[in-house]
Amino acid sequence: MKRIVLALIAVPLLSASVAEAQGDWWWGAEYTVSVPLGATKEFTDNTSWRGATLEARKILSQNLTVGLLFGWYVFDEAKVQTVSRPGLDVTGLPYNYLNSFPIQATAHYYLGKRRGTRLHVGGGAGVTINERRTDVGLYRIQETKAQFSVFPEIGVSIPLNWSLRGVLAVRYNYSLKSGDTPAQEYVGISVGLAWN
Amino acid sequence: MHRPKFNRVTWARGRVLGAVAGLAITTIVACYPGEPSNIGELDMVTTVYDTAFNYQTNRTFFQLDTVIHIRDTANPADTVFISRQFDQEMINLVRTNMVNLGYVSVPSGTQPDVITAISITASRNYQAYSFYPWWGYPGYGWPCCVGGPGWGWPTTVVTSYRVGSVFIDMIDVTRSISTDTIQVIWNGTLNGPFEGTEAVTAQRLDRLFNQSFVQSEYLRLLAVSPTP
Repeated sequence: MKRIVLALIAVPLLSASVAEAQGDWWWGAEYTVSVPLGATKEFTDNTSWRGATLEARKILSQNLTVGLLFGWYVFDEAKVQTVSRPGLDVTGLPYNYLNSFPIQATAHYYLGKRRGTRLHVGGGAGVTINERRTDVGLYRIQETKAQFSVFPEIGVSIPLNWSLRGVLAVRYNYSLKSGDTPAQEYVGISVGLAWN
Repeated sequence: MHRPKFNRVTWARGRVLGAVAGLAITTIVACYPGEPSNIGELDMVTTVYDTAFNYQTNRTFFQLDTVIHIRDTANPADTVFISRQFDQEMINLVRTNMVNLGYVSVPSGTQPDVITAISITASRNYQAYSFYPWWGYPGYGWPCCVGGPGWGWPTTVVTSYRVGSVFIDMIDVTRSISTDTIQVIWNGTLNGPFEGTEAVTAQRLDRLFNQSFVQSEYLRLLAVSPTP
């Protein structure tokens, strides 16, 4: 887990060096609140207040960027449950956790003047590593799966100065079913900063 | 807004801003939510029953007046001493729940339909884990940062805790006699850390024993005791 933290911290540092060499990039760091849906909601019903999104966007034209997105969203739920099977009933307090790490290529289209407030629509596709964990009693069940994932996005950015913008974005994240791991879906609402 | 030419100071400021924002956000994420806050949250109640058995044929029960303490005689060093302080309370809990389900307690010497028996065991579990104290050992960050914050050396901690299990068995007397083997037709297993104060332990026992019967509603004798 600490390696992931380090990687997320290192991304803006390392990518800034690339930016200097390659030209016009935007970088973004956002705090993300996520609302679970579908199988994600069944597993972890609570709204996730722990989430981070880091982005790099290469400016191709005045209205178009492509880039990369990294995220880390933590969902959890704890509720006393009785699981029943024929001839067997088990009651405990399972703690369910979902750590979701999307790594996706993105494309965005921008409306409005380049130096003004801009609306954007976009999306991405890639892989989301979903780590589902249940701690119950003194036992732990854990499963980690890389699932193909996509997201559409709509957002707005407001210029704060010539190289800094405030960003608000809403993304619907969907990871396709993989083997026995069900499709994962949640809506992320991000606020943060973007700079170049 | 006019954008000036590339400025190294501004660029460096942006890089620091990014690092700070990334650090702040990932720190928020790293605060893990919802860990168990008390020992009772680690308890589990498991009940097993015979899907082919008609529990409505029973009417009477006899509760053994002694709790069986199971000890590992092959490995006495691993044996965890279990006090008999709560034995009578456990017996009373089973007896009360059985009566509430409609069963009639019979005295010793009278053949009951079922016998209920309680046994208990405990063992010691060991857990070892290592961690790196982040920025926690000033001066220990050799060779890079003598005198300043460093990554420190990994610290290994070994903890041990006692785990206990209580078994409640319901034995079919008629079938046991006819087959000459003990026929358990229902079992409740209460499992959890064998730790805690006297008051907490009493509360946990009360909750866990009651739960084992609550989730076994099929034991209720409907002709005698309709569902409440």
